Amino acid sequence: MFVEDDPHFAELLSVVFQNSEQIDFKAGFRSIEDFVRAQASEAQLANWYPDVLVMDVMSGNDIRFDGATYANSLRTSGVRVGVVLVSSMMLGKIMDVFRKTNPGGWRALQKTSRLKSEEIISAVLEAADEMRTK
Amino acid sequence: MKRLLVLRISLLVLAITSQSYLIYLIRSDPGDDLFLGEIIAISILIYTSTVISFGIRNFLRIWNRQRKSETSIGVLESDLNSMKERMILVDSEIRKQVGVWLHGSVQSKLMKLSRELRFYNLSEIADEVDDLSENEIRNYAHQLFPPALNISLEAGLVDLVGENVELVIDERLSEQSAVTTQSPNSDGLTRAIPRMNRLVLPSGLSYAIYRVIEEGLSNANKKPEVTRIKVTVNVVGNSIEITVEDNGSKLSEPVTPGLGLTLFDIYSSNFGGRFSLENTQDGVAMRVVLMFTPVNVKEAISQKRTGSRSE
Repeated sequence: MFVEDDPHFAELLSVVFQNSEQIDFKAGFRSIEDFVRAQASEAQLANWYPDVLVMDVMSGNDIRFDGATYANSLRTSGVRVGVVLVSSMMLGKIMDVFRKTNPGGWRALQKTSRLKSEEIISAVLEAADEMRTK
Repeated sequence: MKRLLVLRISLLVLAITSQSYLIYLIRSDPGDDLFLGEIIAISILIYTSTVISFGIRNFLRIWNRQRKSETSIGVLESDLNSMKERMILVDSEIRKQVGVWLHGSVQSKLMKLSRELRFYNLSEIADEVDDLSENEIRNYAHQLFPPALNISLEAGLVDLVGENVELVIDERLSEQSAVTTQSPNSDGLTRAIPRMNRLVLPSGLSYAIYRVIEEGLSNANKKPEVTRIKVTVNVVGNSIEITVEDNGSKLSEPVTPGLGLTLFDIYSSNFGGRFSLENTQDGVAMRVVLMFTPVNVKEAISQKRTGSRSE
């Protein structure tokens, strides 16, 4: 599952996940607001959350809902979901802010033209593995 | 001046004489014998009371005017401060919007273009597009408004200070205060409800805090002997207190404003705060206080709904 407001990168993620045998792609949302709406309409949340959520850092317009903070909120509320944050900036040390609150299951990807499909898949699988073992 | 004095005295004598004559005429019926001195005394009394009453009236008029002027000056000062705040807000909002546009939209389109160029084996041109996107545009966007500040002040500062600087940030500004509260559902799971007590800083204030700390770190790093730097950001009442401490050489003489110090002055005066640079036990501490109105997420959302705040 991913939340990505950039149509080009959303298309890339869709193609990569749909073509991957290792990943069962569930859904893609264009904003956190869309994600929240879908979440709210779901009766059985236990089966709804994916193992990993790929989240663009800047994919919401609401001050409560920047992607990184929202994903962190999900984790704190008890949802066991690995998170891959994507951004044009290098997240690097910023990831420590979220790892401090909810250790484990975090990965970051920088949006560049050199980003390879394998790197995206690898980040998703690593986040999922880390969540399973923690 | 002398002529004016003579004229005034003449007028005074004339007024008293004419008043005395008038009283004499009024009071001069048979059997009523007033002394001349008594008449003059009454005249002086009438004249004096008239002058005093005119004086009081003039004084009240001037006092009222002064009071109105003071009120007008107060209103003008308040308008000026409000305009200054709006200018800062508009400036930082424009910076933020242009930064987000460059960082998000422009970089995204260049990335797509670069990928397509690589698809057609035009790697050299793709590298140039990447260089434009990942170096020039990214640096420019960062100068306009550091993108990490779009996540939170804490994310921005963690990104800024690097590995060797100790950063202590008030919990009300940190990610710790943005976590969800537990809200059990019928299916036993919880739905994400962001906690509402994290303080929302106007983008202009976040930007000012970031730039002040950036400048403080730059000043501390200029001293080669510095091995320890500590940055503290605290919320105290209606103010943000920023301290950048280092263990470098102490100040030997009074602080003279340089470019960096001017920047501290500008930011502290823009936010009605203050700036100081002083020696500590180990080295030097730079302190900047910026005033603000603390608004948490819950209040900000409520204000946004009622349209009382543009952010």
